[in-house]
Amino acid sequence: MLTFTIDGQTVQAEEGQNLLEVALAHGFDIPTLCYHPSVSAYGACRLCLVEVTQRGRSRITTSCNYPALPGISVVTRNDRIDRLRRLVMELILCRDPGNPQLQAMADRLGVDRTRLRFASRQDGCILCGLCERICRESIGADAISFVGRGHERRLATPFDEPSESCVGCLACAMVCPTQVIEFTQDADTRTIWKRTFTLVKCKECGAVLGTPEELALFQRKTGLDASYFDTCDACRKKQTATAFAAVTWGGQRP
Amino acid sequence: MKRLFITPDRCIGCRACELACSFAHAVALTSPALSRIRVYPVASDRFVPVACLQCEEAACVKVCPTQALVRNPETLAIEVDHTRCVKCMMCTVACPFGNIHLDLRVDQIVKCDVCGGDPACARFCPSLALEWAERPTVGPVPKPEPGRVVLPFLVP
Amino acid sequence: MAPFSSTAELHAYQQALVERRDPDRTVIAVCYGTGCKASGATELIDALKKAVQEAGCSDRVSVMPTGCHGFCEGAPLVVVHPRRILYTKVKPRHAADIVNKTALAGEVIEPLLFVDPDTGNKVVHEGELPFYAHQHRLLLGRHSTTNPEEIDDYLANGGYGAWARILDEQIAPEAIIELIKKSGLRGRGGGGFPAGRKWDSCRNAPGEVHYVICNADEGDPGAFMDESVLEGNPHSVIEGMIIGAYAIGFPHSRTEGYVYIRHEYPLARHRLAIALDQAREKGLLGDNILGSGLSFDITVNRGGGAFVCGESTALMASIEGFPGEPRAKHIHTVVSGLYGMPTNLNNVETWANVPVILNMGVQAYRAIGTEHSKGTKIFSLVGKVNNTGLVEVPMGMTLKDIIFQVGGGIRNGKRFKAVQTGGPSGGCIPASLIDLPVDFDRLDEVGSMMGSGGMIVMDETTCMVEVARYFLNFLRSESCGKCSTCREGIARMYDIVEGITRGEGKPGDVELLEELAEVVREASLCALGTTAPNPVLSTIRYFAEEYRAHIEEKRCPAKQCKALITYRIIEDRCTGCTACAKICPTDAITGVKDQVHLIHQEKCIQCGSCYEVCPVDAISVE
Ligand SMILES: Cc1cc2nc3c(=O)[nH]c(=O)nc-3n(C[C@H](O)[C@H](O)[C@H](O)COP(=O)(O)O)c2cc1C
Ligand code: SF4
Ligand code: FES
Repeated sequence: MLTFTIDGQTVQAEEGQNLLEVALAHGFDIPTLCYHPSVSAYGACRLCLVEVTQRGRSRITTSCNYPALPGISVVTRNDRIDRLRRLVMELILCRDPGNPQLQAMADRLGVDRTRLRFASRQDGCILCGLCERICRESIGADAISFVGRGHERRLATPFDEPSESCVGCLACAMVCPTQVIEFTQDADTRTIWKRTFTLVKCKECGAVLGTPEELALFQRKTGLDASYFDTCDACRKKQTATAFAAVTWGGQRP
Repeated sequence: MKRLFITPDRCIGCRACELACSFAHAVALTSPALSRIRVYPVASDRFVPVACLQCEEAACVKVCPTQALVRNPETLAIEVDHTRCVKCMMCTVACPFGNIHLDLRVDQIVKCDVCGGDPACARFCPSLALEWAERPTVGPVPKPEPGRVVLPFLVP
Repeated sequence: MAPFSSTAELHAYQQALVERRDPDRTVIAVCYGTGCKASGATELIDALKKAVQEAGCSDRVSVMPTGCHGFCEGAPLVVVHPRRILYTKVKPRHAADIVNKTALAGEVIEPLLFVDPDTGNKVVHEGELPFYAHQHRLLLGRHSTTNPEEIDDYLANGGYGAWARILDEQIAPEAIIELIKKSGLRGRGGGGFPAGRKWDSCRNAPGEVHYVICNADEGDPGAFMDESVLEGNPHSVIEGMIIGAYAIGFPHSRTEGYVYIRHEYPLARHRLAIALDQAREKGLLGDNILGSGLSFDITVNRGGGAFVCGESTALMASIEGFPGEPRAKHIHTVVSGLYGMPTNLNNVETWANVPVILNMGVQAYRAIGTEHSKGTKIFSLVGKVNNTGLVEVPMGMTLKDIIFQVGGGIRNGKRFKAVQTGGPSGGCIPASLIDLPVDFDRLDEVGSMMGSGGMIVMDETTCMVEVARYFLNFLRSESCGKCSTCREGIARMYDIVEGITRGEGKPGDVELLEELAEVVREASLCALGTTAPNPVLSTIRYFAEEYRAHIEEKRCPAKQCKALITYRIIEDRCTGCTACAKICPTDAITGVKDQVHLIHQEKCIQCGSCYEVCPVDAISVE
């Protein structure tokens, strides 16, 4: 346990925690667009700026990848931080001024529009990298990655082909802060990142279970018996009831 | 430590628990279909309520790639941390009892959380088939007649 | 030959080498650095080798490709030893003469000599070249006499002597660090961090391995200091790194070395690989070097091919096999760097200084330079200066001396306007500060930086807004793209500056640029981002008037921004020679022979060809 202050309030944190998680846990409000507690901090959006004073020296830094250190004092808001965050927001807004999620964040920071020219590609992607990290770190599929540098950077599957390692689990689309990762699903197929998957159905009720690749990956990772991967949760719950009935009433007619 | 005890023998199939649960967890809409506890008829007069058992070595917790399933030390219930969950559905596959679901209507993974320590289902169960207690009531409990049950929260 | 197992064996070998070598042997040294290669040194070397064969004198005359001599203006360069006769702009057709007349008969070939433009005198010997005379070539001085592919050349000149002396005199690792601290050596790769202090922190950081890395990524456009040191004298870097490994990791830890070398430097990589092999053969790398107990070897890593890979954390990520992207370094890399182990990264030039310092002595080294910047610095002097090339000068030499004495002044008699130092994220220093002594701190004070030593000289025809646009364009493509501030910020600053050069500047643009500069500087992760606004800020600081002229008057004072200039024919001067009409690529000029011509503005693309070709200066640019 180590102790430091946030906006004058003394807080405690575990070694290895970052400033952002400690601040959020203590109810401080810090805007973020590239942070997700499930994956490693990356520091792409630069909205989570705070001012850290350590041994008398102050500096502006991102809080999501700054370690909690004993004795530091952290300021989460002041005029300078607010102004810098608004400028960061203006820069991010250039990437897609019409995106509702970005507009909501802009409203929250008091930015009504960006004074800058819009980026050439306005697809709503702000290159926060959450999809890439979720896919690599959490799912373990590693289907997408950053390509290109500088103003030409973007996220893509290898060679822009349908990714072989994508399992179609949709986790990337779920975490996207601007909700621009497109996918479609009909009765039998699901399409994402240009790859179309045939869906596996529950053998009892026909409900969608997922893609075969996704289920195979889950099976590999969990080591669960194959029988887990052919029945939906609802039907399994019903089977549980039958099993409980057998326990309660024994062999007699239920 | 209190736990949720289920005694199917006492269940009269009134489904008050399902309604109570869906009210307790209502987000935008309420419907028994949203309930985390379900009552299954196994014979014309026999019913089994099924809800999460909060397993000791829970499969859902083990497989979650984002550590979004966490046991609440006070209630012992396993809860979903929606800020961490990425809805990959590994938990729904891994639960051997089918007790954790993706609810498309609220777009969230849902499971029994014992209502934070005072489960609505148990509160409204008229027959002690569901009990939130240190240990379950033993012995026969007189079953109320199904048709005569008055659900407290439906009283005008 | 068996590897040396003690310093005594090394000394004996060196002694034998010196005795065996004929100081008067005839060697034709051909500079094979970047500039000379581009000017045909490869063909020249082949031609010389052939000429030697044809003359049947290969027993007496040898041809030696060397590292960059520095005087790229005269490329390709040839120096004939032992008299050090210097020939410039040599073509393959001169090869036979050089061999037969100079090498064999000792004759000087007059037409190949360099003529000093100031005095009109011909320069015969290398040492008399004014370009070299004002330099202090501690590192580059040996390039024209050393065969970089031959360890014996380095050994015969006392090479590995600094390392041997440490062992002979049993100087403790801590004492070496003290010496480096006292010498005042600061990192030559950009930041100017005191090398001794870095070594000390790294030595004191716990870890089972201590990594010692040489940064040879050199991504600055136009820079080739590190390339030339590695190509010209790779053993000096290796010796520096061995001493570094000893000082940092001996005896408490294991040490491993890496050289991270720029993708586009195949020759430097090749020569370094040869040098490493030769050093291993001689027992100067490997297990228990010279019986010292130190085991150390060096792996060569090919760079990721991006400017940002030169940044310390990106470089380490790249060596580990990850994308070359900077990481947050709230814990310093000297404590947790490569693979989480204590890691000491220094630049090529920094490492090459180490044996030099120990050989000449700390006192003598400290005597060179200014109070807080000691020793020499290599600059790549380019742009509108007469003598372009690599120059090594003492710290603290004024800009004026570098540009006018070493560099020989501005080309074509134009007026000096500014000099850009520090690479793409350095700054522009105006002519009014020409007496500025060049060292780390003074450059910082005026809003520029030392960087790795780029120096681009600009004259009155250079538009400073265009300069800012040029560097922003480089940086917007070379930012790794991770931070929204760096990626979007530089791209948006580029948009604004580019708009200004096209005459689309608006009032308020400069202020908006300053706002953006602040957020890019304050909120970006690595030094690429935090320094990226420098080219804009320094040009705004010193050339605000030029921005104003572009924005308010739609005028480019340097007459460089095409959208803002018009070419016209001065009627009373035009003789109707038709030269302009003939050269115009868009047929924008019409007129009858011997009569006044006319430029049709709607067709003109402002290429300036007519201006160049007009024999009577009848074209004006507004
Ligand atoms: C974008 C960027 C590029 C850099 N490129 C180089 C380079 O090519 N060579 C180099 O020696 N240092 C480069 N540096 C500086 C290194 O990060 C590091 O400070 C240096 O190698 C340390 O060595 P020194 O102390 O000997 O200068 C770069 C820094 C940044 C931010
Ligand atoms: S400042 Fe620029 S180059 Fe450095 S990490 Fe951020 S985006 Fe990459
Ligand atoms: S949340 Fe810290 S940079 Fe995005």
